[in-house]
Amino acid sequence: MQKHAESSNIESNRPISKTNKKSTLDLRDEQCPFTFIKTKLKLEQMDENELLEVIFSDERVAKDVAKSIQSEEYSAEIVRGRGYWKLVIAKPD
Amino acid sequence: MLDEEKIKRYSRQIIIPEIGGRGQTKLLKSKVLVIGAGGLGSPAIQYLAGAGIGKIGIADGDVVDVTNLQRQTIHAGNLGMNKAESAKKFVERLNPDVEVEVYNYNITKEDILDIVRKYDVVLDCTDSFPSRFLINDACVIEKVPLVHSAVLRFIGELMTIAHGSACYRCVFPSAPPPGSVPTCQEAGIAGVTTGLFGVLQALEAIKLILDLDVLTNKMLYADLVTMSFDIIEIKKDDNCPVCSGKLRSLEGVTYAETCRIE
Repeated sequence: MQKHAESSNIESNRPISKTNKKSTLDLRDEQCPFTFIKTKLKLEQMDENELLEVIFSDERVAKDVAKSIQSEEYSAEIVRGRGYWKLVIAKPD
Repeated sequence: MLDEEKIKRYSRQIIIPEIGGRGQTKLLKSKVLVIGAGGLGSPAIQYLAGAGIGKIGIADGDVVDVTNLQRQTIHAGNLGMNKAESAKKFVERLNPDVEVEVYNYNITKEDILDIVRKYDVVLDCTDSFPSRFLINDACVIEKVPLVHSAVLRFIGELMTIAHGSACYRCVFPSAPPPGSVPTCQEAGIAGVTTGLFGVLQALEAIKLILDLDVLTNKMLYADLVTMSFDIIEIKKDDNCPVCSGKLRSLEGVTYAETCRIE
């Protein structure tokens, strides 16, 4: 049986701290490429070491955004929730 | 802060790591002066406006003629209209985020310093040696980055003068004797040559605003018939009458014939 809160660490070289300041962005109604663009714009406004949780409606979008964010050297972790997918992104120093 | 409409309009370039939201905000706050709204200026203006440059100054004293339309496509439907006014109409249709300031006359040594100092970057899109020397000298004096280009037939050159780099006079201290170099009117110009080099000028302006590497101390020289693109290294001339800092005002300089500074 599959676990409910499955998590996969996309970028494992830097563990994501659970104690950092956190913002949340709900992009369940957004389409590609705005899912990535809005995530990126939010990250640009955040301070170093801050965490961002982005909520998407499906796994494919969460994975695509994780991949794009990774290419810009962010650490990202995908967490499965009830009917949504959450991407937890840490802004590097 | 970018609103929903701007996020949409510039989405394809915000995605690029070198631009992002910060870069887009910089572009929207920047001011670029395009001197000459002809063969080089038309494509440059088109892409500067598309990219969301906050303010574009457009200077040209000529009117649109049917012989221009083979390369100056932004002036479509505006025969007889001043080129700066015509270019403004194009920009307004393309992108309402861009403010346009029109200089519907030929800028001279009397007013050029006051004009260029209001801008972050200047594009020299003119087609004569006196204008090129005048614009170079003014931009060096005012420390405003300048992108130079010149084209003929299928040949073009491009160089950027910024951050104390070699200037146009380090390469060409004076103009060749009048009549020794044919003008576009005499020798001809392919529309695609102006299109390519005008767009490269817009590109350099955008990169200057984004603090990316630009073509300083180098000149791109391209022959589009053979498709040879060469980058020529340029050395700053320590005795350059302009960028060595000797020239402080344009008063004593004659921008005619060889334009030489004695």
